[in-house]
Amino acid sequence: MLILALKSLWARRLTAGLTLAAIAISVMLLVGVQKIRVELKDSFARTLSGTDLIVGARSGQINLLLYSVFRLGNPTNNISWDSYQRISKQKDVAWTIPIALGDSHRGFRVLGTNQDYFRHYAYGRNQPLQLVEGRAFKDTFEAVIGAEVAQTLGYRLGDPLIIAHGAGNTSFSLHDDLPFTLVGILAPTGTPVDKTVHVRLDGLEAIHLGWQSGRKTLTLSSEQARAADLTPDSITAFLVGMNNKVQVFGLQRAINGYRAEPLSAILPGSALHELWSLLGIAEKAIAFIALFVVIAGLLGMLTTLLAGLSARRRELAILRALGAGPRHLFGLLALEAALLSALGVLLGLALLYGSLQLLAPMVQAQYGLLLYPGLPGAGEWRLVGLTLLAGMIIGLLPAARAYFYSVNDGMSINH
Amino acid sequence: MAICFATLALLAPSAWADDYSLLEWNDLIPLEEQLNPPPFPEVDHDDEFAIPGQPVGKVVPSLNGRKVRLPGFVVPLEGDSKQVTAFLLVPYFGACIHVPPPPTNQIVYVEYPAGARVDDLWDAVWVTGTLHTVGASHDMADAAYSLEGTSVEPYQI
Amino acid sequence: MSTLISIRDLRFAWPRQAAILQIPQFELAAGERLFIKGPSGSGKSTLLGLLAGIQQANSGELRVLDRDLSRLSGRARDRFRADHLGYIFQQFNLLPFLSVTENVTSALIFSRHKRRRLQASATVEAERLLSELQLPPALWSQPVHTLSIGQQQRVAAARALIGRPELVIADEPTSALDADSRAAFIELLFRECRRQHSTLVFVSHDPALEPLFSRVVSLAELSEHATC
Repeated sequence: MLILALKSLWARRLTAGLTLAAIAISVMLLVGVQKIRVELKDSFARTLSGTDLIVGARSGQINLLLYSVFRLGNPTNNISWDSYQRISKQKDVAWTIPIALGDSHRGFRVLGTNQDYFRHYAYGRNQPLQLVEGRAFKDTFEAVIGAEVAQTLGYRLGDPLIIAHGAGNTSFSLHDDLPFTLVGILAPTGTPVDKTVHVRLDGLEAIHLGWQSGRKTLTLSSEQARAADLTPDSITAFLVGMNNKVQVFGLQRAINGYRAEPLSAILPGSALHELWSLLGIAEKAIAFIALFVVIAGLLGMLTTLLAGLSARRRELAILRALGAGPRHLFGLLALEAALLSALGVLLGLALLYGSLQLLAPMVQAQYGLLLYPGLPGAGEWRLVGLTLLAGMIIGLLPAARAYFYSVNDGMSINH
Repeated sequence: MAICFATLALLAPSAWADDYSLLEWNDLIPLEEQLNPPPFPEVDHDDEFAIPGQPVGKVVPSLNGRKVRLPGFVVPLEGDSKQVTAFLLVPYFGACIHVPPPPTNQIVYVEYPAGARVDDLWDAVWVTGTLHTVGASHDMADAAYSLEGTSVEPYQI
Repeated sequence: MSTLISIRDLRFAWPRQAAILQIPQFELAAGERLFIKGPSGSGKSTLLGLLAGIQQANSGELRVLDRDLSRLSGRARDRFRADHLGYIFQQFNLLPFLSVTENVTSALIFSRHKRRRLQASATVEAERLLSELQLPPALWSQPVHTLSIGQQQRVAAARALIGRPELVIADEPTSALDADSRAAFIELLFRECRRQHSTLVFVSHDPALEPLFSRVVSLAELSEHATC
């Protein structure tokens, strides 16, 4: 029976193939949307852990979250070093990590911070950063790079790094008089940390000495730079860890009402949650479209099977003469639909994972999103299962029709 | 508000009446504080911190180690795209913004490694688990609660 | 010789129509070659449908191999047809998606009984029948649409014969053939039926074929109220 169904499909391989392609493409879209959605969220949710507040210039909480942690978008403004100092000395604050962004190294963001970054920054489920090689920076002109920076640029410990002004792939204003030395390489985290060059705040300050209005006016040696006051005027944002998390609201409120400077303090977990609900609308729309594409694909299959059926009434009559009962023919047609759906789903998954494999490095390079082409998750399997089920149920229609044909026609084939 | 939570308590599903005792938010406040609420911290008008922080309340020591069930709203802290593994449980929605924060003894830090699905922060939940009293800062006596969650369920009326 | 088909007071009418068949009594011995003649519309195909168990009589008795088909369930009749019958249509007998040999063995799909009766493997048996019916081996693995109509009918005959069914029914199998291949086809069919002791019921409106058969009945004589 299975062989019969397969051979019959093979004989109609052009229409069957087109049907298969329609189902495959729709499944690819449906599962792909789901996959990217989940990966996107996971990739975001993985990035920061253990931080109770993110403090930056006054702006919306999603904006602050995106630029400070995910390096997406641009900061509305900097915050003064003075405010940072004052807030970090509040009694409920356990630790802070300053973040200064704005420069780049060969397309990778440069982040100015301090030793606390390596001590307190955590991602995933409270996993701390780990160095695979070398150590954290100690000197003003030392740098620690993320795993991807090391891999892409092929850097090794001791290599010099020159930082460019502004964020971008290339820059025509280089801080080339003051190179940094690579002292540490971080283990991969699957977060934007992998694509970041970390230096000390004073190092960042040093290379900006002698830069007025975005233009270099004097050149300094590193000795001269070290001699200068390298306390930064401002930073982009900072992360806060509390002694007790229940006091986070108090500090948040205090910061939001800070008089000297308009600041915003956000709870990363809540901000992410707000981001999800914001994205939820778009997500639903896309999921709906994908769903309808699948329905269109399955309806295409239905059309093909039903249209083919009247041409196959002779085939049914012959099978009838060979001893097939109406229920055999029902089964045969249902099996055909099930096979088409199953093969379509398999093909769709193969296409999806094939293209993910190909596109993942590009997407990561372009958008910094990590797409793991790993096995489909529970959600994806559910979609696949539902599609298969829908295909099988739709297949019952031509099957029922074949049943009635065979009951009414019997073996007479002159209809 | 007390009335509100008394009502919540009355509507609690009765199947839970085993070894977990049902708590109201008021139960977390020691009796003397219920009569004399802790003052908001003094505001230094010369200071840039114009808004008072959070009142530090005392805890009810007898609640330490108790198995309890408490309704409230979730302020997510940790988790992934699907679930929340650590959160603050607060007695009313929006406790984090625009209004003076509740005293420290009216916020419970919940650790729930199993992960709870919270799609909408407007939806209240029932949290069940073991309550502990903890210090707010190292220089002070216990002033807050934490809870090891064993279950987080949607609050149903 | 034992009785293969026995009919008593058989009556059949299509829904909301007058009775098309009404046969008081008829018997056919095993091993005979029966020629049923009658103009088109006389109920020949209906009778074949009844014999094959596709249709069921309204009343009376229709026994084939001592089983009353008018009392068997639809499923049992399907099973009976698969196990004990071979059927040849007028034309377009073959499944287009199977090769010649596969078409022959397709008669075994629905019948374990026929499979058990094979003396050799299904393919060997199919090839034996095909060569007996003088179909060149070069054609055996060909798709069926490359065959001439005469060749296709011989494949259909092989399919009807495989598994040695007791009854082979041929519904005007030669009407699409020219005179020469018609005679050759019938001769081959007879030979094979004789060899494996299958009874042949052959329906045609061509009187020229009558002399070849051991028994000839006209449906008009058989049926009391046959309507034309």
